[in-house]
Amino acid sequence: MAPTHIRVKNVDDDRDGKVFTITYQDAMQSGILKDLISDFEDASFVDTIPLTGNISDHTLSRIISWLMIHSGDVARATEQVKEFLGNPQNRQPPTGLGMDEDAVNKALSSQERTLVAEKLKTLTPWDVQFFEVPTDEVFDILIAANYLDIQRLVNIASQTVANMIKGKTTEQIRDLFGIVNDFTPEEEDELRRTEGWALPHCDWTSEQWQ
Amino acid sequence: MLESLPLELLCDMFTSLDIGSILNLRHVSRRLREAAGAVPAYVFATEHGLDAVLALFWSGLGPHFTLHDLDNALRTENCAVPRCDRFGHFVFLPTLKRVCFGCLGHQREFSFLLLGRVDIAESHSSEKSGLVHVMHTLPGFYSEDKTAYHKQRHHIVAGLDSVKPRDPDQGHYGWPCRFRYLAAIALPFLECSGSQVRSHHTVFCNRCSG
Repeated sequence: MAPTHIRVKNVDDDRDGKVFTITYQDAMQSGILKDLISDFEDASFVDTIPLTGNISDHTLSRIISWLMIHSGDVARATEQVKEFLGNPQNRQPPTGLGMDEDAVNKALSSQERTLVAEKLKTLTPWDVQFFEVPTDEVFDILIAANYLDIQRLVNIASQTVANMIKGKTTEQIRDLFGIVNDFTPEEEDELRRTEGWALPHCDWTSEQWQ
Repeated sequence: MLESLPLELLCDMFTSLDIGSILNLRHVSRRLREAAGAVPAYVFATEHGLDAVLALFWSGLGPHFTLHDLDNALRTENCAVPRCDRFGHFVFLPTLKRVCFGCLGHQREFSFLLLGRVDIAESHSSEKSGLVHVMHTLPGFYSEDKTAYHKQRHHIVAGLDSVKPRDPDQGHYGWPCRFRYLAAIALPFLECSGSQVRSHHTVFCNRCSG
């Protein structure tokens, strides 16, 4: 029988991390925890699941708080979409025009899938606030979520990083992420000559053509 | 930080960025330049859809669309207008949806209004949320009589439902159609099966092209 609560902790080379207790339902959102739990299912003597992804306790606690908030999301989104599609006007394409029942059902379920996926992609205000932390921490969460195989959190975290990149110049991006410019001056000149038009400081959309 | 991310995470992130940001990232460092070159969507877009990439960039629509949107358009075969099953030769730039020549000329959503004739006050809320995409036309000389064309660029808005014309009597059907062909560009359809990639510029017959 599946346990109702799971205990996880970080196991680094030299120390044991803090033990966290999370519910079975929350843990199921992580691919790796799901696999580990099914491996350990019969072995009731395994008390705590060890994680070796080199995740700090702080990051793990933040991820667990994310899991707790989002555990019912898929069910909730599906329910909302089902309700939305209950109104025939919202169906795309409108049903019943010379289509047989199978085709209608197929179109409907594919639309349902897309709508649910779209709903799950949107950032809630809670998520935005969740990522209002120093840049390093966003990256820690991204890498840890990738290790724990929580696809939605990976998507949201990489979306957050993508939003940081948007609309910035190359120099601002280097400053923000601490990247060293490893092009030689000659290469830089060459790049600017051949692809310089694509850089944001060269604003062709406004003045150039007038 | 950004550079130390695993390649698959970088690739994911790049597909949720707009084309302009990716071109920009390629100038930041070698590692990011290589990473961009490893994103299939970027490679396909620049190899098969370069015209569309440049058109988006020059017309000021670039920031509204991610690489993922462009990739979707490339891999779609048919016109996006409901119940039109014809091959879509073109992509309509303000929405980045595929369209066939017939629908481009007749459907209401492909009509345009000059920005000055749009009731900004009413459209404002949707403009803020990024739904109203203002397109800057590119001056071109299609006629021998050059005076027929202003050298100045027009700022135009597509006749989507979120846009309200200033003169309500005129309605959507009164929208001039002279800009609609300016806002579409030919885009090949990319057929990916396994490792094989073929681009089709027109309707093709599977059996003949073997």
